[in-house]
Amino acid sequence: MFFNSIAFAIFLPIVFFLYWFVFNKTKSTQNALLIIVSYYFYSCWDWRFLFLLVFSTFLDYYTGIQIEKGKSEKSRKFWFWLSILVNLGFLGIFKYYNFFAASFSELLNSVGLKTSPVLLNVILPVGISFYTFHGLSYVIDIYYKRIKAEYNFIDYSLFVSYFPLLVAGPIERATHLLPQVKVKREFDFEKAKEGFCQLVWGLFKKVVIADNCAIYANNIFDNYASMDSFSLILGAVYFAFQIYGDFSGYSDIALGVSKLFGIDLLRNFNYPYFSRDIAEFWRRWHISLSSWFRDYLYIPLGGSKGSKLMQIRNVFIIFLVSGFWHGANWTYIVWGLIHATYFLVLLLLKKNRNNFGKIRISWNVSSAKTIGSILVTFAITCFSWIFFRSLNIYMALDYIKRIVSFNFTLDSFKEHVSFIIIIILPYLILLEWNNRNKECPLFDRFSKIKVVITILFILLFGQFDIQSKFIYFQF
Amino acid sequence: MKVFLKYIIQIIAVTLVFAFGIQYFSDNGFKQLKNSRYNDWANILNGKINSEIIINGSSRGFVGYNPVIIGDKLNLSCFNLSFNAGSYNLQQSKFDIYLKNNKTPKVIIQNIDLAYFVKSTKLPDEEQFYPFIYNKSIDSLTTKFDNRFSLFRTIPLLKYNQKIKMLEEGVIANFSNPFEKNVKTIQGYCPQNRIFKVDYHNLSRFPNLTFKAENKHEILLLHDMINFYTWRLHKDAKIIFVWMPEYKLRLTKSFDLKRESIIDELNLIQKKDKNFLFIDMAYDEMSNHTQYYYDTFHLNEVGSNLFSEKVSMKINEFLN
Repeated sequence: MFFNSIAFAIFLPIVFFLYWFVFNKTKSTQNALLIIVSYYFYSCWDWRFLFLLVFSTFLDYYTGIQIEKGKSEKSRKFWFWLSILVNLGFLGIFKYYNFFAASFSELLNSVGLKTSPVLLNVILPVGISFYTFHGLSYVIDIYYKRIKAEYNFIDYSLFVSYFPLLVAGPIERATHLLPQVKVKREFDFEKAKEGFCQLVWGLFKKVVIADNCAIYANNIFDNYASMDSFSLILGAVYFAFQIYGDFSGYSDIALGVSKLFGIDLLRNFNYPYFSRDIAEFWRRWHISLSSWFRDYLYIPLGGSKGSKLMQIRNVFIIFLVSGFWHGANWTYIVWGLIHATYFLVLLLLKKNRNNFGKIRISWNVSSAKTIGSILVTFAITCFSWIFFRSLNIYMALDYIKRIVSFNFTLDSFKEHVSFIIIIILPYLILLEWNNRNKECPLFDRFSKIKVVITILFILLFGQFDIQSKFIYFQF
Repeated sequence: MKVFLKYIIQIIAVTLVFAFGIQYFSDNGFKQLKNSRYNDWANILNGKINSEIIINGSSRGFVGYNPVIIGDKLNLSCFNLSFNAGSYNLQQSKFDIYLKNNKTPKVIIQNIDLAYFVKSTKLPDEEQFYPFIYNKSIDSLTTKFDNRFSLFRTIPLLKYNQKIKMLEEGVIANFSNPFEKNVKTIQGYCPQNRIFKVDYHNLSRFPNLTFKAENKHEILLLHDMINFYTWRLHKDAKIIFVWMPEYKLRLTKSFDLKRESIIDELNLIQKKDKNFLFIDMAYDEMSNHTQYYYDTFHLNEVGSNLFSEKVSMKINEFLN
């Protein structure tokens, strides 16, 4: 069941009604309903993976308690590593086994040892990377005594399998979500209104921005060998908007839906394409994953402390892992490495913490510089997306080679720029730019007008014929 | 909660007002637009046609029969009801809708060709129905082919989804005609002011035969179509089947083998039924001249005018 499906449009109001009018007596009834509907929601993809979800939930629930109860450090360590290894083991088998087997076999073949890899014929369970990371953060936090273990299984299950975030995040923290799950939610008009606005905005980003840009991006990337330089640049830009609309759209819908149930989720995107440098980009893009890696990998490794060599190592590790998290393909790894290189330049020049403040624009030279740095950051981000979108490294390199051949034709502009794109992209950029200090551009001033216009845009420009997946479901 | 529900209702209400408003404005523009297929549908549904001669067919009928010439020559009112890209089943449905709202014609001119016998499973040129989706007859026709039309009825603007150019044309149509040549219609006929270009994709679709085709299915369909008209028309009404001139590239041995039994059957029916006429112009002199066609299957405006004159003369002989 996708967020942009008719099924979800029926599912959501029913659950909303049951939640606030039938199961609203106590926190337990609210949680019980949310668990049932979350499992139903997940089973709509493939009910067999429910077992994996339940097992993963039970494992972290049980090991969390055992770690807390553990009298000796040895016992605590045992349960901790059991949880880490089993969680990562599942992720490894389902997501990475085939990649490693094939890569290892290729390596052996390249040195003259003829082998054929033994590959597993398994489907990647939807959202496994997300709920595994939920569980991991929970267990790590208990081990380092940052939080207490949760003894109520229903509450813990809801933390892992809460349907708005179950399949594509945001990656929640126990410190943020569990306290909300443990109290009865009272209806809050302002929160629900904001949730509704965010849901509409997310839907707009998905079905209008992402799915329209996808048509052009797919066409250009699929036929890149016959495209001129201008088309190839457009292809990268379209993909940048596609992936942004797709993933941030999903996150907005998730956050919006959750607000309708009185639960706040972690903000996942903060207008990343308005970033003034790549460090800021990573503070604004997929925030829940970036902060997860920062807290559970980068800082434990030493972060930006220590020798220059250590800092460089840490940056490369975190970006490499981040790339690899997205999928078992060399293209994601190179994408991570490119971002590591971008970031490293800032780190070495000690400019990685330059742009923390709000973006202020007025008619002066400094504003022109700000706009320039936003455009440069966007351009280098688009460059890295070429690797992310390409099927393999060779394709990405060939794509770039063709861009720098600098052959342009006017026809390509006509072919790859449509009337719809000319309307929807400026609408997205203007609305987000003007509301860049708010979580949702549709909320607050002129909210109703903006919501109505956006719904009309969804009706007119949305892609409904294709049952398009959200890109991040595959991760 | 009440305040929230009120908020949601307000948003939905305002959205609906705007969406239905824009949709109505565009639909209305199309309906009022003279010399358009939309206006033709509006006239059909409002019972404003009532012609004595009705021409029926698919795209070949749509672009090939000039009802002004045919009507003038036969001294009868004439309307071209052809369904662009629609096969026999859609032509029948359209005729039924016509009959429901208009007087029964005295003469039917039915265009046939080899494509006529292939049943339409999809609704071609679906945009022509957009302004009329709330009409019961149109609704039952469209929903039979495509369930989306049920959604179009309930969700405003959805039918114009990704069709901004069309929505814009509909709005402009309230003030002026946004259509250029080759789209405008004259009494249902759509003249094509185009020069010849070989349509290889259409040519390659034709089967390569080495023996005479039995055409059991096609012959059955012929009888069905004749019965369809006989049951609906008055006793003395005339039914005329016409095979238009085919461009010479189509006139192959395979073509002959494929249609031979169909022609035999039509000639046989003609012998038995005094109200039935079959005119075979497939090998007419026009077949040899590119200036009469815009592809191997369709006549252009010059060709359709000449053909309409020629066919009118033959029909005139039959009627008198």
